[in-house]
Amino acid sequence: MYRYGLLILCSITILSCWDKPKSIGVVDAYKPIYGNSAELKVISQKPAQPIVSGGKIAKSGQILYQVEEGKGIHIIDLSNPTVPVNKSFISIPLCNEVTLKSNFLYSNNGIDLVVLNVSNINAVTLSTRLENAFPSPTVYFPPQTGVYFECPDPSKGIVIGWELTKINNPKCSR
Amino acid sequence: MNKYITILLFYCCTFLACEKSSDATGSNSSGSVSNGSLTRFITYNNNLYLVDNSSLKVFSISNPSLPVFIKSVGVGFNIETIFVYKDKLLIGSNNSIFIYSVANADNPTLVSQFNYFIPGRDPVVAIDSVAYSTTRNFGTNNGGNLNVINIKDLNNPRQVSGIQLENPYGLAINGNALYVCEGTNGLKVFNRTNAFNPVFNKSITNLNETFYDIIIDGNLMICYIKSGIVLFDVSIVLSPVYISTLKN
Repeated sequence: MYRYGLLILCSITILSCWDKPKSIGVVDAYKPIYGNSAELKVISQKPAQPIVSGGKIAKSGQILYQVEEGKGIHIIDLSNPTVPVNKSFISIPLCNEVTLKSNFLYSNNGIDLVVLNVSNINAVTLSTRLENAFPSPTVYFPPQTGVYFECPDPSKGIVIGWELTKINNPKCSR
Repeated sequence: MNKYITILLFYCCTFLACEKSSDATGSNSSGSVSNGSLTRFITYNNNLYLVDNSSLKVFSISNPSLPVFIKSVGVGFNIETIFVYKDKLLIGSNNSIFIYSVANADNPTLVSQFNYFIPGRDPVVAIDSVAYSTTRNFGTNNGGNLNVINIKDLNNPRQVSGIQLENPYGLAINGNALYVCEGTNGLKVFNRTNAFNPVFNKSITNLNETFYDIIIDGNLMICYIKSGIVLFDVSIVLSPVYISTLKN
């Protein structure tokens, strides 16, 4: 009888150790938001939008381009630094990056590399799309670090964003 | 005799002109285009370089409207940033700085790798044999470090000093000043008159903004904050003067 007790005790001890890394309980974690890929490839120019979740910046001439995380790029005129003007917005779903060469702007539409002609900032046009050229990390994990998240499931579609919520024992972290 | 003096003067001017254009601000720029230190996309001469989580991708943009894929080079893990230093690319990852030569622009080759003792989020900038990087500790507001790395010998980068920071993100060099974004803790100015031993000069916290990254463009400093931009005049590099804010 004593022998069985010891065996059970050992089993419990081992199991509790085994289980430990998974038992973090309900914690703050990021959950993937999945989307339909067709509508996520529409790039268009819109009137100026408020800068809510401002992202990376690039400057060419007097124009500053600022990413709106996951949504597009603000076109800001810095000709008069005392009064910077938010001129217009290029909607690029799942966008995080921006750089330029001469009159062309390079950004990412999710995992596609897109080239926009910005020679006329009032009439920005899409020049080229290279599909799957930039496996944007945010498709695989949230931009934040030191966080837990629900591992993305490619069968549910493309990850278009991340929302902070409570998750029980999230399996992924970074 | 006059002729020689003229020629000599001409050479001096040329040399000085080169000196000036050789990355006077140590900013992440190519031609007239500037990027912040946190960028993953950079143009350099006729190429576009992108870093994803693990590799460096090279595209020819001889025709800027139509990038042509050249090659992908495996670099490492958790890559986050890219910076142009002379004909080198400094690639920042969570654990290391990778130095790639783009002397042959289409075929980047690894020169060396610098590893951190303590991993963190990592943008890097460089000028005249010195590189500065910030490593932000994992977690929220857990502090971080400003790392000063001697890259005089690019084959053997070595850390020469480190300064504790509060919550570092992007950074930029401007003459004798080094600016570091500290997230919700504002913007810090360091005096780098001794490039290998920058000294804390002042903190700009009165704007109550969350600072993430910087572009220096002449006397203008453009800071990207959480919901827009803040502009400063940096004619006196150690004393940024607030100009304006655009947000929301």
